[in-house]
Amino acid sequence: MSSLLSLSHPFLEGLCTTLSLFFSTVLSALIIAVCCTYCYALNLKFFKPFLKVYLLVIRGSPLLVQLFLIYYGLGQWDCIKTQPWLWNVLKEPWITAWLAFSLNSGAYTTLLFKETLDHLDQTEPGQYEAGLTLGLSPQQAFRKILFPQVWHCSLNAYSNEVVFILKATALASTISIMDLTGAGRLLVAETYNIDYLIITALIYLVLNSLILTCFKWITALTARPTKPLKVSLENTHSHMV
Amino acid sequence: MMWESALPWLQSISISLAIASIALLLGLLISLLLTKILVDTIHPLPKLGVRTLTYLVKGLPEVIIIFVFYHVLPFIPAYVSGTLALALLFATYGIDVWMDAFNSIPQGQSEAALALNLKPFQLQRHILMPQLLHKALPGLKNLWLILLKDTALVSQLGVTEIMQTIYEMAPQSQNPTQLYAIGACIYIALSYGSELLIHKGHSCLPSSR
Repeated sequence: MSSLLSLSHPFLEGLCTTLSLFFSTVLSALIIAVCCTYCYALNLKFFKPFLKVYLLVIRGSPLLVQLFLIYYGLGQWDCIKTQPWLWNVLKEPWITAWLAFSLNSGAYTTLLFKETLDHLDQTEPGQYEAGLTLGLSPQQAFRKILFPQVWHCSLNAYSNEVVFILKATALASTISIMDLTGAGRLLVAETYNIDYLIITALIYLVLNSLILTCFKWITALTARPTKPLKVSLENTHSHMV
Repeated sequence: MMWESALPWLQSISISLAIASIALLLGLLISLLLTKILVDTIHPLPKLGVRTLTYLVKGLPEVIIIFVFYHVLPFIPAYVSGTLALALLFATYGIDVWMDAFNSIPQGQSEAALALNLKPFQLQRHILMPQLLHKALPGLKNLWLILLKDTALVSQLGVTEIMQTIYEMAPQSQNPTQLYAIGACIYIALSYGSELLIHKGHSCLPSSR
């Protein structure tokens, strides 16, 4: 067994995989959530039922099922198999995992933003309409009036979501990706030594503390003089503190 | 013929539900116990213990917790250690729900009840518990839905619940996509059904204004 400090140690490689999955998922999930919230705020007719089904499917089924469905399921379809480039991209476990995590976390983040937006609409209604009356385009009204408030109010809950993404990446090991959990499981299986599992757990704890510290920092940086709205989030998952 | 092909599904669904409900009962008990420690004890040591436990459980991926239980307790069957891990997960998240509900009841109510010569048990039974239940139910429902979905992780220990059954059936089947889609539908139906049931139950509770 190579020493813990050597560059090719499974833990280091696993850490790199976990971090790359984590950062790309956070980014793409945020993009999905902002796009969905934008369509929701604009009150598009065709979008409401789509969003409802998306949230129901993602929130109703476990992430593991979604991961397996995408990893084992996509290869079934002839329209994907006949496109060599698409098939080459989609048979990569990393891409599949990223796709599943983004869709999953995108739904939960959308839900978070959506509920904050609804709450904003109830407590201080008519801001969007006022923006339109003042001659802003819908896109400007969303970008300059609604979204900053939504972001500000849901930042605290969003940090939980980001921690959840990190915890979700642990599932990548189930589709043969050697992430941190995968490395830990491999080493435990090889040596029958539970210490490796404990080391894996400790690394996750350190990463989580780093994320929460970062969010404290972001909150302090983007702090506003107005007092934040109190949003009750009953339907999102209550992870982390 | 129909019956035989449905049998493994029914079996796996009942195993999943059994794991989830036992974990729910255990988790409710443990979370009430931990909340009691946080609220009632004055000594800082037990409180620190509970805080550390919540920090650990909330910071770690669920799979890791399940694996730790599995490896630390090698002498008990996999489904038991999986259930215990899920119960612990439920309990630590449950503390927040109970604490929120508990803090929303004014202190004056217990004092008034004691002044009216109610016994401590009567105070719990007639004054505190109905309000606690009413306030905690939405949060507990949320945790139950998470728990239901987390039972899929126990498949990693080889317990033949829904996910593991599909995983074993998939290589022989011509259409694994369909199997996984059925699995997703089962979970969606279970969580949607329980959401409706709990909603109904919530409106039947003797509510407090």
